[in-house]
Amino acid sequence: MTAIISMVLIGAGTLFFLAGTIGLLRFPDLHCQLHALTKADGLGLTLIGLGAALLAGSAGDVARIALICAFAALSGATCGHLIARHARRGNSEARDV
Amino acid sequence: MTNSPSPADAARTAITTTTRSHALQPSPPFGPVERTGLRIRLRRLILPIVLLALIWSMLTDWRLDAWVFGLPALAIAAGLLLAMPPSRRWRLSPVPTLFFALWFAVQAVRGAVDVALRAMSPRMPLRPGFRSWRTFLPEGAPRIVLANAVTLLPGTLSAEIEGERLVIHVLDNRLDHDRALADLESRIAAIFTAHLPEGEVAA
Repeated sequence: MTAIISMVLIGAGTLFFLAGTIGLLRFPDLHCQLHALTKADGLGLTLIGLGAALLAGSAGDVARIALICAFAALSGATCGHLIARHARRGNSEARDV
Repeated sequence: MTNSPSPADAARTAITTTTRSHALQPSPPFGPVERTGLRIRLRRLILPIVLLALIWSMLTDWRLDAWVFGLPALAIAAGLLLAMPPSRRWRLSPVPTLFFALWFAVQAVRGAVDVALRAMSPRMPLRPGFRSWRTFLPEGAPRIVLANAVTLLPGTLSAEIEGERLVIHVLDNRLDHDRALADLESRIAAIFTAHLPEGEVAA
């Protein structure tokens, strides 16, 4: 039963990674692409982490997975902001008229 | 305790820092606490370093040989913390923090589902644009939490913080984001209700 639930979670996580990648390829500009990367991939990783945590052998593994997901979410949001800021500043002459 | 600054000194610094920061930022519920002096700053390093050491130990399964990398990283982190200007210390209120975490988890899932559906929909419904948001949250941790949270909320991405102005990129500018943003702000304000008063940190 645990195995099935964890497979479902990992499968759903993979779908979100797929959607994030599709967004990266299809969305028209950098800022929209960042939405896809920060949000969809973050949830994808968290779902895969949840699935892996269900299969994990020890409490230490679960704690490590939780830490990795938390740091990935935090760094994803921060990096997304920094990339967006850099892009905006680079294009500010062209865009802010 | 013997070589901590005298109460009179502490009061004087408190008054000067208060007036200075209030000039910058007139938000009454959040009083500023700034501390100076190397001793106090070194003491402030203890908690972050213990925390980082714990995180590293957990990540490496308490292996001693992993400290070959952990120790230099810890030293760099401590150096960066010392080099950066001291920030205010905030106290988190536990119950609102818990509610915020739960609410935020739901919002992050909604945001991911929203962007995933837009990416995979054949029509790809996007109407991107920038908008500006003036926040009442005080400088420091509350604004950083706001900027990071905005990025994970449905359809919004924080693109820049300039003082109290936040530039937000939205996926669909036909939607009304004002209510969601105001809601997020008030939830963050509820977390950071109190700052640590002068002198309490030393305990």
